Amino acid sequence: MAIPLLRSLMANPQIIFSFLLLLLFSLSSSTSLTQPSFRPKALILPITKDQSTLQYTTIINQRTPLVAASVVFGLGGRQLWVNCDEGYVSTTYQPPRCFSAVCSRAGSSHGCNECFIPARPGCHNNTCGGTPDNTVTRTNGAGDIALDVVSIQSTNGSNPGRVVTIPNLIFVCGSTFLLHGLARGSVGMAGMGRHNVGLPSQFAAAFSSNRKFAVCLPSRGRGVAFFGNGPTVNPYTVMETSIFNAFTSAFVREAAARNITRVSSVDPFGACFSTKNVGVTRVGYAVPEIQLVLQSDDVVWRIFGGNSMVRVSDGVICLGFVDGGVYVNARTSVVVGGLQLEDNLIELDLARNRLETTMSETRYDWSNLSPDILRSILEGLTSKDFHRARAVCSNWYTVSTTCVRPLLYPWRVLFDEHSTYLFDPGEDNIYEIGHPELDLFKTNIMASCSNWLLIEDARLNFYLQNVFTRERINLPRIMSLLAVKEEWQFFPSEDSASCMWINERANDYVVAWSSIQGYLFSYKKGDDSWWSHQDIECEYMAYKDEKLYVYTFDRCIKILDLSSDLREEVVIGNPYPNHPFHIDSHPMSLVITSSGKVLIVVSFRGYNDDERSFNIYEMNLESGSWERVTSLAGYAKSTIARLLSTYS
Amino acid sequence: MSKKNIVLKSSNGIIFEVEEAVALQSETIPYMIEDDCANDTIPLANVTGDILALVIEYCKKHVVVADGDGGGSSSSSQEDLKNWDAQFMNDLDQSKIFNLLLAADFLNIKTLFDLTCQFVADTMIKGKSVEEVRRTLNIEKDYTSEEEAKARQENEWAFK
Repeated sequence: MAIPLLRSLMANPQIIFSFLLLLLFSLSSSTSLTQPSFRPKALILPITKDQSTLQYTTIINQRTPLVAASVVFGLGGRQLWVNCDEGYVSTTYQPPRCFSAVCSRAGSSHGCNECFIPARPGCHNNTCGGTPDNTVTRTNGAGDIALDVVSIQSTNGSNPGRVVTIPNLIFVCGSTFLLHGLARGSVGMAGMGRHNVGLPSQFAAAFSSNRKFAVCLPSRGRGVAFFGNGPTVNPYTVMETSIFNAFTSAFVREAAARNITRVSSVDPFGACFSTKNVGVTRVGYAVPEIQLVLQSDDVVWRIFGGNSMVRVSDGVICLGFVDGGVYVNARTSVVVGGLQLEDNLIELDLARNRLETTMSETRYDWSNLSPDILRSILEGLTSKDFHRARAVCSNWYTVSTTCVRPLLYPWRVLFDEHSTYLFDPGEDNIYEIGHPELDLFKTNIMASCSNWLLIEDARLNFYLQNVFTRERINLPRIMSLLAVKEEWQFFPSEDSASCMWINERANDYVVAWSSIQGYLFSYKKGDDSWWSHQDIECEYMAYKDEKLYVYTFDRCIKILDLSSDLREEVVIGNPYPNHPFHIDSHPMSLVITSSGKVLIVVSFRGYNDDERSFNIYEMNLESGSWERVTSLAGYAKSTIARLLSTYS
Repeated sequence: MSKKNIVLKSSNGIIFEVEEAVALQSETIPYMIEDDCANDTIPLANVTGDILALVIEYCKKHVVVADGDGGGSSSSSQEDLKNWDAQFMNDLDQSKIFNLLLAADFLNIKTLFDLTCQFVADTMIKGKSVEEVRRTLNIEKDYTSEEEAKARQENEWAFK
């Protein structure tokens, strides 16, 4: 027997209850069923899952002569509708008269439908209309309300019983276009909604049975829908005594912590409470939540007030779990009762002994929040939490790829022999990641962008490496280009300027670096080889929007257009060439604003050795003189972020 | 300044009458007034009464502060408001928070939306392992093991 494990009761506001749940789907075995006027105990419809659309389908035997109509099983649909435009032949089809009882029961107050072609199923004069609804594509149509014969399998609860007939089941005629999006071969939808003309209501009315239905939806193979008294074993969950006692006392303790007053017990329940301090929420009474931990810790069935509490009298509610004695039966320590199942969609996978439940839609589903909301939540997370949250479920992952996460501060990346240390100043936290592939003593890190480094190794191989994922993109060898020259001239040196830009989402990147010999090399994703540009003596460079901005030794800005096949220098439209920058000999970098203006960042040593400060200059386009920027107020956030990152 | 009242009706038919300035923190409501989809009463089909009550409580608190000190509210009242916001969120259970989020989104009340999103990020996700987040928010793992391993591997450092 499984031993229940109670955990973290004190620390957690919920009661978490973990046990091996063996759900017995035991059909009762009553045999006395022969009565003069036959009243089936329950009706059943077979359900199969269409593997390509993942829709559940059922068969409705309808019309005279009977046709096995395959229809999509729709939990939310209002009624049965079938396509009457094609293939509907029946001698028992009846159009109800407009304003008749059938029309009003079907909720049709639209007046009378007319038909301008020879009458056929779906087109009659003086009848009423309804709205066939394709709940898959959320399309509505309009069609005649109609009556026809339906026959359906009954059951005595354990074995299939006789086939029973409903002579005048109300349905709506749909049209061919409404079948779009439904599983192949379907001719309509069977709506299980709560409306008077929903199938559960009509079946119940036909046989004066309970207006209840239960479904066992298959993940593969066949499932079934029960109408009437399904095979629910107990109204309340029955627990073996030791489990019951532990469970009840934990619940009582949590309730007391919420100022909920316990009152004397009412049979058959063990714990009852006054409703005085109990609020009411959409999921029932605001009482401690119960979590059933199912086949693994990740699969939790949460039971809220609506499914855990029974109202026994005015002002008194009881915990709807009962003591089953020392042995409930030989095989199970807990049998889940009907109260706890209500309003939950149950998926029983008998092949794997697994129970899957989905809370009904009115409850909340954090995994399927609308992308806008989820994005906003994810964007509020720190980097580490953000990356973890992506692994929670596939929808979160998908949405996370659309997040804009402006890193308004630069991360510091520190390397040592074995690891890379990432310092996140926003969190004031250091993360360590291994980098076994990266031997920093033999490589030259030339530039970085986003999570990527531009690296040159001792053999003059260039590649991009993601420091987080260790993904590597090899760039072409540079030798082929320079066959006739002496290769040493083209090694990047410590004084070389270099830059890279990468857009991971678009899978696009550009790198550029300069040699001391006045060569500038650029490579853009998709190029066959490196481009070399001669006579550009580059000191600093920056890349933005397919343009490479180069600060040359004569202190002017040149612009190379990398978008064209010619990689030409931009002459017309470059306001900078004849206006040299006036400050020398300070470490500098270039930052390009969102609108394509060049900012020059000059950094100074502060009063203390470990302090640095920096000035930013922008050229006045009218006067051509470089002026100090005194306020960043007018700049885009992304520009400021780039400014800050140059300073790291 | 004449004070005009606006009547809001929740999805379950509960009526709230509030000052215009309170209601106009929602950027959705003005459109509903302009569209004349409401003569007297603005029906909010997506918001239940208990949630609408919370929204109004929030908007009332925030409209008072914006009025005070002739526009520029003092730093102490800003501080008070922050504390009030924190307390306001702390008193809610998860289903209320969820529905408040949807309501703030639908009604387009930016400060409330941001507050709720940040609260969810800070209290339900921050510092938790993937499994803890799933348990807290009752999210089923729908990845295969390989897919999950891949998602983790992309930023392995974050899982240490």
